Formats: sequence, C-alpha cells, structure tokens
Amino acid sequence: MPQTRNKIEVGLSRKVFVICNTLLFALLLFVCFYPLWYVFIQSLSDSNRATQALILPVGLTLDNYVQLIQMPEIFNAFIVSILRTVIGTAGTVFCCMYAGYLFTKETLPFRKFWYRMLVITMYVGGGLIPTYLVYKSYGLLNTFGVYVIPSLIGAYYVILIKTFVEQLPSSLVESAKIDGASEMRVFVSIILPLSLPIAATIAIYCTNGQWNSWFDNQLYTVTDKNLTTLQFLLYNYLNKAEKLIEKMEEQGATSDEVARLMTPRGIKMTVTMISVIPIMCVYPFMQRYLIKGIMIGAIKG
Amino acid sequence: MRKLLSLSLVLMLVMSAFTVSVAEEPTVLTIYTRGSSTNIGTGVFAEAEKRLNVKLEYTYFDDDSFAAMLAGGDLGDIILSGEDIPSMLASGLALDVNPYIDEHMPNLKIGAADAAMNVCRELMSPDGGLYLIPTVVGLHLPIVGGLDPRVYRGYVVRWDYYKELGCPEINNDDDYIAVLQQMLENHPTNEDGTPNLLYGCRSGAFNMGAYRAAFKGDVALNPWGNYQYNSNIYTNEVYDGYLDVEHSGYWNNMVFLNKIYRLGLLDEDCFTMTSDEYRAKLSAGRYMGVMDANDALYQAHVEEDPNTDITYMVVPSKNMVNYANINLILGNMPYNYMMISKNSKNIEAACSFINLMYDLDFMRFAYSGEQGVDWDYDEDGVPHMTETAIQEIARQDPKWANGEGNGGHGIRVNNLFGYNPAVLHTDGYPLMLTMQRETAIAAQQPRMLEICKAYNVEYYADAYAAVEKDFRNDMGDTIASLINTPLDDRRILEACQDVLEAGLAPMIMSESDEEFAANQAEILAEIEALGEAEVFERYKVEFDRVKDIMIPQQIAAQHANGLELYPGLE
Repeated sequence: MPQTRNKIEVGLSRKVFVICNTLLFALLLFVCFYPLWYVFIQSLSDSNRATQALILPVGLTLDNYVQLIQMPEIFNAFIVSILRTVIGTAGTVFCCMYAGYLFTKETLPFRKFWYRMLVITMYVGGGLIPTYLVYKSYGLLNTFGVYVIPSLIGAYYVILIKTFVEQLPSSLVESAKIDGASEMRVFVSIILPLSLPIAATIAIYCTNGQWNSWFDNQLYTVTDKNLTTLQFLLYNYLNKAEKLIEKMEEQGATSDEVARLMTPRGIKMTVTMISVIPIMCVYPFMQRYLIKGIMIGAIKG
Repeated sequence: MRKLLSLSLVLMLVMSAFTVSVAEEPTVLTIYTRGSSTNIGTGVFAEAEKRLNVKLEYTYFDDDSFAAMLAGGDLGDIILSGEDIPSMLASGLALDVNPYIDEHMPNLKIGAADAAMNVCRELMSPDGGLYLIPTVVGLHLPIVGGLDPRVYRGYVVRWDYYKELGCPEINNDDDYIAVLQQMLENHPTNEDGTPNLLYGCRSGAFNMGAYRAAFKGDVALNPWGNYQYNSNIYTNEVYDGYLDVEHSGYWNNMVFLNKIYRLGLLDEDCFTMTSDEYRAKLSAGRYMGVMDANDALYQAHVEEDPNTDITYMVVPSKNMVNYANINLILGNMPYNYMMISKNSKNIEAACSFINLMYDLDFMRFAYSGEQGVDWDYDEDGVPHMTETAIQEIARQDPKWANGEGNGGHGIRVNNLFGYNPAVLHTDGYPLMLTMQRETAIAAQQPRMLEICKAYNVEYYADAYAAVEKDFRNDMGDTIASLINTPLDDRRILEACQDVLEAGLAPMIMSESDEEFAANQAEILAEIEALGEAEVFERYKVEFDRVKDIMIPQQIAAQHANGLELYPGLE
C-alpha cells in the first residue's frame, strides 16, 4: 500500500510539475516570441492603422514591403550590411586565427610582452574621442575600412584560439615540418582545418556583431550616405527621430513640423523585419557551434 | 599559399573600390545640422547650387557624433545649430566672418540683415566678432499672411463636426470644453467603431514649452524664447513660469488638462503614446479638439475630396492672440542660427552661400518663384503673381509649399533663409508676393475658404484679425537670444524640470480643486526650495537690461514696417 500511495503522490506531483513547467515555459515563449510577432503583424498592416494591430494585422497589405523595396537607401544599406558582415567576419576569423597561432610559437620575439598588451586591451579602452582621432589619423573615416579593419583582431578571440591550438597534438606540426612544410603551409593545411569548430564559434560572434553594429556608422561614416548600414537606418527611424521629436516639442514645434521627422509605423516595423530575418536564418544553423565553442577554448587544468 | 594570396587580393580590391569611390567624390559644401529643425533640402536649393557652382550636402549629427567631430575638427563647412548660444560661442567652433563681409558677404550689410548682425556683434560676441548668423530676420507674418499661414495655435477643433453645431463662439477654456463635449456626444465613435476622444495631446503638452494655453488674451505670453520664463507680448514683461501661477502658461495648461480629466474625458494614452501613435489618432479624426492645428486628418481625406472640410482648424476667439506682425530682429534665434566652421576648407564658398541666403532677389525667387513664370512686374513696376501661379497655389500644387520641406517655393526655411517672407524687396513689395492682399485672396486654399464662409469674410485671416490682437509688440525671442543663463542656474532649472515631471501625473489626475491645489502647493514648495526664485530674479535683471537696449530698435523697425504699436511698449 505505501508503495501505491507513493506512486500516486509521485504521479500527482509530477503532473503538477509538468503543468507548472509547461505554463512557465509557455509564458517565456510568449514573452520571447510575441515582440517578434508584434513587429511582423504591424509590418503587414496598413501604415496609418498599424498601431492598432495587436494579435492580427489590421488592413492586411504588403504595401510596406513594396514601398521599402522602392526606397533606394534601403537596398544600399542592405548591401553594405551584408558586405561588412561577410568581409568583416572573414577578415576577423582569419586574422585572429593567425594571431592566435603565432602566440603559440615560443620563438615569437617578445611573445609574452605582446600577449600582455593584447590582454590589456580587453580591460582598457581609448574612449570615444581618442578612438575617433586614431581612426581619423589612419584615414579610416568615411571609408568602408572603418567597419572592418578595427575589428580584425579581437583579444578575446585570439585568447580562445591560442588556447585551442595549444591543445592540438604537436606531433602533427612536427611531422609536417619534417616533410618540409613552411609555417604558412602548416597554418593553412593543418591548423586551420583542425580549428574549424573554434573558427565557426568566432564567426558566429563576429557575424552577430557586424550585422547589429550601428554606432560606428553614426560616428565614423556619418557624412557618406553610401556607407549607411541597415541597422543605422533602423536606428534613425526608431530612436533618433523620437529624440528629435521630443526636443522639437519642447521648443513648441507643431504636430506637422514633428510629423516630417516621423516614419510611418508600418515602415519602421518592416525595416525591423528586414534587419532581423537574415540573422534569424543563419543563427539556428550555427547554434551548435556556439554552444560547443563556448567551452572549447576553456582553459583545462 | 596561392589561394591565400588570391583571397587577399580580392579583399583588397573590394575594399579599395569603396575607398576609391569615396576619394573620387567631388568637393562639396557640407552643411551640418544638429537636427533641431527641418525644412532643409527644398528644390530652391538646387538653384542655389547652380548659382554658386557647389554641391550642397546635409549631414545630421547628434550629441555623440558632435563630440567626436568637435574633437577631430570635422564639422564641415556650415553648421546649423539650435543649441545653447553661449556654449556654442565658447566652443571655439565658429569663424569670425567680419573679415569676409566686404568681399564675400556684402548682403549682410543691408537693411534688417545689417541691424541683426550689429546686434550679434555688440551684444552677443565676446570680442565684437561676428560668429553666429541669425536666420529669417525681419517681419514674419503680416496680418495678411502668406502661402501657408494656417493659424496653428489657439482653440483647435475638428472642423466638420464644429460646423454642424453652427460654429458657436469659443472665448475661454470652459466654452471650449463645452463645445468639444457637444461634438463628442454627436459623434461618440469613429467610422470604424472605435470610440472618439475629447482632446488630443501627448508629451509635448506637458512641457513648459507647450503653447496651447499660452495664447490667451488675458495672459498673452510668447511661449518661445525662454520657454520657462515667458514674456508678455504687449509689454515684454517677463514672468516666472514656475512660481508665478497667474502668469504661467504651464500652470494654465495643467488646470485645463485637469478639468478634462475630471470629466473622465482625458485620453488615457496621452502620457505614454509615441508620436506615430498620436499621429494615427489624428489621422483617424478621433479627437474633437487637439493641441495644435495639424494636417494629419486633412491629408487622410484630401485625396478623395480636394474640397474636404474634414480637418482640424483653429477658431477665431476673443481670448486668443494671433501670431502675426511679429518682427524678429534676431530671426529665429535662439532656436536657429548659422556658423561657418573654423576648420572649413571652403570658407569663401560658405560665405557666398550665406550671402546668397541674404540676397533679396534670391529670397524673392525662393518665396515667390521665378520671374516671368510665377510673377512679373506690370507697367507700373508693381510685381504680381501670375494667374498660373495663383491657381497652382490655390490647388496646392507640389511646386508650392507642400509642407514637407521637399517642395519648391513658398516655404520659410527657418534655419537657412536670411529673411522672413514679409520683408520688403528693393522694389518696395514683400519677398513673398502672395502677401499682397488681392493675390492672397485669390490664392486661398479650400481650408481657408471654409473660414471665409463660416465667418463671412473675404480673406480668412480677417476672421482672426477681427477678434484677436497680434504680436507686433513682442520681442520675447530676440531678448531671450541675448541672455546668457549661467551654468549653475541652468542646473537648478533642470532640477525644477525633474520636480515638474515627477508631479505631472498626480497634478493632472487630481480629483478635486483641493487636491489640485495641494499637489500644486507641494510642487511649488519643492521648486522654491531649489532656489528657483533667485534664478528668476537674476534672469529678470538681465532680461530687463537687454529689453531696454532693444526696445528702441524694435519700435523703429515696426514703424518702418508701417505698424502702429499697441500701448505698453512705447
């Protein structure tokens, strides 16, 4: 009998747990998913009534997407975002891989010194204005290079790679050297292929960072409209206009003067969807590398 | 190895393509704006480019990018600003243009421009240099009006519903609320069934700069200039907007909003809705009355019916004042002014551009169009708009003042143009020729004709002029531009703003007069404890000092404009 009672209690408590657990995760799912759904339905709603859409689109229409496609700045911004993501990611991965590999070589002159200098950059930054002045002195302002070059070396990524490469069997490198391979040949033919997991991890971080980045656009490429990224465009539509509107309202601007700064709600949401969709398509496929890769560079005891 | 080399070469090629494409851009005249104004980039500026042989490029920047560009000395050629004047002067950004005036900016030595520049030199500059250049100086709106002289401020109603009631008189806030309530009873829901609302406002209504209630004949404040310390438009006496409850547009506004709240008719979203949510409600015509007349509802219907009366309009009211006959000695300062950047590589071109903005012929072109096409002189040498142009204006052709800042002529670009539209050309007639009465009458747009029909007048502005006084005496903007509020005082005022914000909701949602008075007293006590009264006293001393200097200039200018002033100034 006690066993049966225990079974019943366990069964009941398990059911309660399952129900509560399901409800909790359903709530979490709703909290995570609804904002995206909200943006989606408003992008499919009539622009003047988009604010009324809460569950389903109001005045279902594709006009917002059609209008967006016809806006030349959107297409240009999209291309710039794609290019900086692809080129930036490829450049960062390659440079960090190579730097990480170099730091494993004890024959590198002043290795410890350079490594410490690299680590310091993780804790100490130049600040907004010194960074701006440095970029300016290198002639990077208002060029595409400012999106890619400063991020070619990331201290954290180099540390991850160094730690990973150090775990690779040294015999592989030695045997390649015996066969007459140069350092670059060793790096390209042995180290790189074996480091694909960590490379993929870094790639996903970089892709995310490059795709979502807009602050560098605001500071360093503000005068060249051809270098506007999709995220900066979105920032302009969403946040910047709202700040300007507040300022103008403080100064007694009329509703019409303010309205000239506003982008219709439908367009804002459509731009948001367009900027989210590409990364949503890539991320699920790279997720396993992200989970694996977080631990892959961990320092083992 | 070869693959690696190839990949590197491809990368370099791609990156150099962007670099090369930037390097090959032509030299441009860059105009940096902090985004405090709109209305730049009109088609008129294409003509400016042609005349000056430059390419104009506008760049908006905010606080972060401004700090970086300031450090790097990268603020382009011309900077448009609406920020605090003393700090902009102290930043050392601005070039002293005095040495360039004779050769490159002779138009700054003429008429109202000359008067404005002299004030800037003598009263604003630390060393007599000319660093900041005001925009849109001179007489702004004469009583006759111009292309887009819609009256924005006052008691604003949804016109089609208001007409149904027979256009009853509205002379005070209680009249206004009663009329709006009647309109709401007649139209409780929108066409799609959503409930209508009594009064529309959002966050802008809760600022010191909210101008709705300021336009009342008995208070008669100028809400621009220093929006915390508004001045009387007749006497230019300044009031403490925080503690002087009787003369405060802010407190008047709070009383008004509280009344609506106690009727259960305040839009519950007014505290939180965004500007596009507000605009959506305006476009749907859900409000019976709103804070300012706007185009949203009209634009939603005009395509279907060009003569639609579905719009928001200000009604003429004995208790309002009319923003007309205002003479702006320092133009749109303190909210708009130009500077040439010290680091500009195109100083002479920048000077030429500003000179063009003060060129009377170019201003005539900007406001009235092309001679021989849109206007011309008759045999007596009097300029008139052509019939074609008048008809274009009447039917709101996009070539004229389409309100978007991207049209052609007739828009007052208040952060770039040198002169206001009513300033006289050397031919003795206004720069904006639609300000001649016959032309203005002929060019009236459908909404203006609505006012004519309702109030039985020939020209719509007559309906307002018949019952309202105007801004001919006012000097609030000019005086405020010339006052430097010390940093410590500005900190105190910011703290006062925080107190007002914290007390806003309880204030408006007070359930009784006693509760309202108690909340108000609490806020006043907090503000007084911050030392605001002393700040105001210091401000008043400076205000009065500047006022005494400027009054004779204003009197002379308005007499030159042909205006007799109201008692209180002379």
